[in-house]
Amino acid sequence: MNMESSILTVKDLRIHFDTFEGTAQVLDGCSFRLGKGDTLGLVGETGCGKSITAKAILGLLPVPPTRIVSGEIRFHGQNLLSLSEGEWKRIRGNQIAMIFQDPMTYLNPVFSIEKQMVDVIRGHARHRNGSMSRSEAREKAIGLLDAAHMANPRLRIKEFPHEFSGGMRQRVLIAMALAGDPEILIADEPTTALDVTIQAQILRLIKELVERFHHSVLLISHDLGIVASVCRRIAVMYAGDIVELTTIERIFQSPSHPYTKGLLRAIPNLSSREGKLVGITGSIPDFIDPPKGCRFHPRCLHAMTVCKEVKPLLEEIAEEHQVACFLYEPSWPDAARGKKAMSQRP
Amino acid sequence: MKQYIVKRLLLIILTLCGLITVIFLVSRVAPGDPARLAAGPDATEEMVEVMRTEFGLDKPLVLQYIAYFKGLFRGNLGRSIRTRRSVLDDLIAFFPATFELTVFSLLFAVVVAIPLGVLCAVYRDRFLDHVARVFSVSGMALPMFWLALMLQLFLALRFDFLPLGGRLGMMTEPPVKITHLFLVDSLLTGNWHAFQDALRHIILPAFVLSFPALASIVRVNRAEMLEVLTRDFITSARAHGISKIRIIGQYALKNALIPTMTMVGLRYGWMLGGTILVETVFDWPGIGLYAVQSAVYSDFQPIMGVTLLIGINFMVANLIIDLVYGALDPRVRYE
Amino acid sequence: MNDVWTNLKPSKTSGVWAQWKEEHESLFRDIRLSLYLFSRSPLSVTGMILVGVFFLVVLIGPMIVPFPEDATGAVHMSQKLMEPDSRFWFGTDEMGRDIFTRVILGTRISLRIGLIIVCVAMGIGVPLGITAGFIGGWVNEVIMRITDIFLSIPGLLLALAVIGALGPGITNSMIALSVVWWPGYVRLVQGKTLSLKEEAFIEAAQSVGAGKARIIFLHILPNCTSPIIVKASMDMGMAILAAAGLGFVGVGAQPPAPEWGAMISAARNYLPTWWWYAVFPGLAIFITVLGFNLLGDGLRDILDPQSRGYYRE
Repeated sequence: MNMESSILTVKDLRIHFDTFEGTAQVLDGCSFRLGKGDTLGLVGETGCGKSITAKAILGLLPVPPTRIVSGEIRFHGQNLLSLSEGEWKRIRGNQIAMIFQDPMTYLNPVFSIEKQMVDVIRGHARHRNGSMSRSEAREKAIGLLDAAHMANPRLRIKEFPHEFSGGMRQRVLIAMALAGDPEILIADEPTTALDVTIQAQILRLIKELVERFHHSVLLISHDLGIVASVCRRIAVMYAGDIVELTTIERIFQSPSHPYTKGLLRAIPNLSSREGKLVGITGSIPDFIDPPKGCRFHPRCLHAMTVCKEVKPLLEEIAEEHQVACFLYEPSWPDAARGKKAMSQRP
Repeated sequence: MKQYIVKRLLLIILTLCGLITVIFLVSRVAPGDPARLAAGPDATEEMVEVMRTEFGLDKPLVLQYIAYFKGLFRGNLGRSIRTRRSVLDDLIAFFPATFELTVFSLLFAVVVAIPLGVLCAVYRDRFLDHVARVFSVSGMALPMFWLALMLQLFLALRFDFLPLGGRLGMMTEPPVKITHLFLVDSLLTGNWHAFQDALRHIILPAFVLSFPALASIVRVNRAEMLEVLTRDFITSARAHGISKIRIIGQYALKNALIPTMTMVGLRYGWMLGGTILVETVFDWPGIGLYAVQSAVYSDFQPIMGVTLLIGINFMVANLIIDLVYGALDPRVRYE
Repeated sequence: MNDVWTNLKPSKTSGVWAQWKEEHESLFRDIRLSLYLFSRSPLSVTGMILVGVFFLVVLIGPMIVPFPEDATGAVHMSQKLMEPDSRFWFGTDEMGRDIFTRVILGTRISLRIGLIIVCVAMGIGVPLGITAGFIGGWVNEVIMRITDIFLSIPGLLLALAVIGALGPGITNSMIALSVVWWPGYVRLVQGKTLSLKEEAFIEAAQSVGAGKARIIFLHILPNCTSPIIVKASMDMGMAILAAAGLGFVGVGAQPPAPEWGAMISAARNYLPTWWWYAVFPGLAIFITVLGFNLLGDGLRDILDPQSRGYYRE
């Protein structure tokens, strides 16, 4: 992955969240790249900061109490963090679109599907080349719903969100996301709120659309299996940092970060006859008073002295494989490793 | 939808029957002799006895109840000792003034308060919000009758901006009676002079009557707007590039109006009750003033008539609000 | 592996007091958070101060007023309708009575009115509400239909109607306003009871054999107290306002009682020249009701933030 072919670059993103009890350091220097036609999955436990990263890309975070402390998000070179509301209208839905988690709460309950989709479509048209009439927009909406495999779209478009099932509503959200013909599709836990059988349908739909329209995809999930079925690359997040960034094959063949290994071990295997379920001891850290150094070190079986002092950065250990862990620095003694890591800090 | 209206009308009639029963019981259970109450404080013993037989007060309670109901159906609401007319005639004469005043006040309150609430939510904690909050908070604590007097003091007595009371100036002929609402009638007949005069007279009482409603509707709408703006579908709309104006004015507002309507209905009720105070101060010839004058005179039948009439008024208003709910929120439509 | 029961035995090193503190730690945290949030809102604090001043005046009023006999019917025609000056801070009325004295002593009347109305309304409304919500079925229907009937007429008018039947006077206006206020509590408590009934912890209590009375007093009632307290504090202000309205119209407190509404009614005849007569009692009503409203709002923000309080205010 080289600089030229990446269209979205997140660099060293640091986000804080002010609460009554203190300031939670929610994202602590998150970095990754997304190329054209690339499919990247962001995986991690609930609360690790993946949703916040997604919302930050589209500027959807509520600015107090959230604060973007430092970092960049560049889309085709332009820094998204410094955009005005007017400039955002060009990007949102038009070039970067988002599919949300719970289709019930993410659709306006008092407006019909038609109204909501037509508003979105006409809005995009206004920002591109002029205007679109309501009936044209309606036809386009029906076409999009058809592409999302909704049955009888011409009839059902007049209905309200509460009259649809969960899976159908998610198809509506997907259709809305496609309306602007975006380059990048961000899917924030698109199947979490759905039944398992519907999950499979929606995932198939997403894959089909990606193959058809060649979007770049950022898929966020806590489920490794879902990410594996859709994405080529994967980033594992823990407590606000990306700890491993590589391809799907390599993550299963040679998982490197201790957290990743723990995750893979924790997935129950129906065919295996092994005994107990293996978890990772401990729990996610307090974001207001996070551990010094590597945030995973309190739970890590291989924690060394340097891990408690210095934060490891993502280092490339193989082709398209980066890990943030001192275990993988080329064979240097403890102290020297620590010094090298500190001297490399920007 | 029609089914819903029919069901609600039935409910209204049922509640009305309950109200009538309560009124009946109150008037019969009241301490003192109901015949004496009906005859008035200066009646002689013979007049009291005449009243007793005339109203069938010597018959058992159940028969009285049935007779009372039958009388109501025929439009017999009793007689006012003070005006010496039938209560029904009095109500017909005085109701249009109250109707015009309360509807005007409600419209004024809604048209001003809802946009103001939206603006306060959007420009939260800025100057407008703080000023509005001062008015909102004091609006509900200010005694309506005192506000009325203070405004009279400054605007009518000290500086002759607005008239002191009444519906029309003494020199003005009332417009041709079509709806009995002066503002409407004068517009319909092109009577510009009467319209202006009626407007000048209604401004102060309407403002006072609507003030507490203004205060609470602004607060509720502001609070609801703030809450709705945190909801997920607003994030979704922003993510799809929908313009801020549309998000605030349509996507958020329509949702926020649903609970706001509840407050509008409630405040209309308080407005109807407030006519008692406002009509007294401004000499507005409506049923509120009529009720007060009757109460002071211990004239019981008119008070019951007014109670019934305003009860109907309020129930119909609530029905309309329910229909508005249906128009706003598709989820409640098919009940 | 830890024995699950080990943690439940009182430790020998810490005393009973320390253990009680630890068990109730979340309660303390809640209280501290509530006080902190309350103090952060200047309006709420203002409300508390105003209500505090009100109660202070009620308590020490009779001791600080310059002319206490003016509240009980003294007449000094020689000093009637005098402007506010150093002797009569609020001026005098048409009987020569010191308005400042009468306003200050009027606080006692207002407090009595407000307190009685709210207490009676709660005393009738809360039990009825719990009964309706808890027993459900036709009992619930009957109680709620009756409540709806009372709520179908605007409050002030209902009060006027009751007074019409009973006759004017301060006691009758208290009765009338109690009749107006109790349905609000029924609705509030019934709704809360209904939703509490569905909660899992009620079912859990029933499954271990808790009797109905125990469930009501230990589980339902404590969870109702927050909205009841909020409503009661807002109602104090509104009841005082309504009573003043009835006094203004002439069917509430009768002369020579120094009730604020009645004073303003008399003052009406003396506008605009002798303006002070109407202004000061009105200000007193305003400040008192404002205090209770702000306090109620502040309490609602910390005790019951989800409630929107759309019941009879």
